[in-house]
Amino acid sequence: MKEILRLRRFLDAPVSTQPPSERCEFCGVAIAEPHSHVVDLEQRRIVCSCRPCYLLFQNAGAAGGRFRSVGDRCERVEESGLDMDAFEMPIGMAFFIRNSKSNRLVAFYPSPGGAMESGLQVEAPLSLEADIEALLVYRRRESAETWIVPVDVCYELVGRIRRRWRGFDGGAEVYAEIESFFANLNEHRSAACQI
Amino acid sequence: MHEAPDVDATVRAIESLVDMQPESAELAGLLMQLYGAGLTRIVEVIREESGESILERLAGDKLAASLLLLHGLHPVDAATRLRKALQKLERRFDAQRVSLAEIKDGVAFIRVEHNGGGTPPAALADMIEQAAMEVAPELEGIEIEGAAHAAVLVQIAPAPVA
Ligand SMILES: [Zn+2]
Repeated sequence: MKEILRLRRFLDAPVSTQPPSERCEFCGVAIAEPHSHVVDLEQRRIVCSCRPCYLLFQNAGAAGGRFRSVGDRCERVEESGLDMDAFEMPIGMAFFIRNSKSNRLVAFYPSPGGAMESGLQVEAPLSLEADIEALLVYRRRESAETWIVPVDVCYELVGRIRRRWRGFDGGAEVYAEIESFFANLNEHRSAACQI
Repeated sequence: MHEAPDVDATVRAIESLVDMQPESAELAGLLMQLYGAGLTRIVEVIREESGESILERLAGDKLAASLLLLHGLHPVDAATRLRKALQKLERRFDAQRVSLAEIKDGVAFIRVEHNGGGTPPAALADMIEQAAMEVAPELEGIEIEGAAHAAVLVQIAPAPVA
């Protein structure tokens, strides 16, 4: 019976609520928030990286083209040029990423399960850097915002929406979260994009 | 009934995993806190429903008792457990009286009185230590007065980190 008491040291150890420090997935160096992100084009996911690795993958041909650093453009645009009424936008939001493989503009929208791909074929006159930039659209009842942002910004926003989502339509907290996100974007522009 | 897991082997496995990956100590702690909180609630409900006999049964089950002990939920206090064990031990001897004087700051003070003859005191001290370790491993030490190991502080369990 004595051995089990050795487990006490885990019970008694202070448990931090801080997330464990993240590491660059390329070189393993510890990275703080905010840090850079790189898109893995093969697995279609966002990879956390340190600044030197981010700079390395800014070159489109690096690592056989599998990885590309997210864009650094962060600007508000007047018009998306898209017919927004054609989209089902559950909470008035969608983002669009050009897929370099299919050369298609793919629409996504936030949901309680994360980013959902809408199967719709769309085309926009806007020039977007494939895979690493996104066109982010948010439509309120009386106004709308359209942005060109690095793709990781969209995934960050989707994550924040997902954590706040309650019930069928997301609930008031989701809208408060979205408003604070756009307020921050408007205030800081490129600084806010450094997530 | 489920086959009881080998507690000692499980503890060793957890320790070696944590040695390899120190950050997993936090995971172990969180899970233990979660299960400990659930166990605390279960014991509370059993008490509220006057289920003392259920708690007694659990205290007599080695696996359940060890988990209750780990989370400070054992329904019988250390002194009572130790007294009972010492009485049981005493019955094996004719000439020795073994009693618990007190438990102070986690150390049990045990008194041995002789009425002539009988078992050599050294063996007796070992037996007392064994018995105490078995029923009250949360004790930080044992002092035996009147047997060969007298005044030796035996560390039987790591003290909880404050
Ligand atoms: Zn790196």
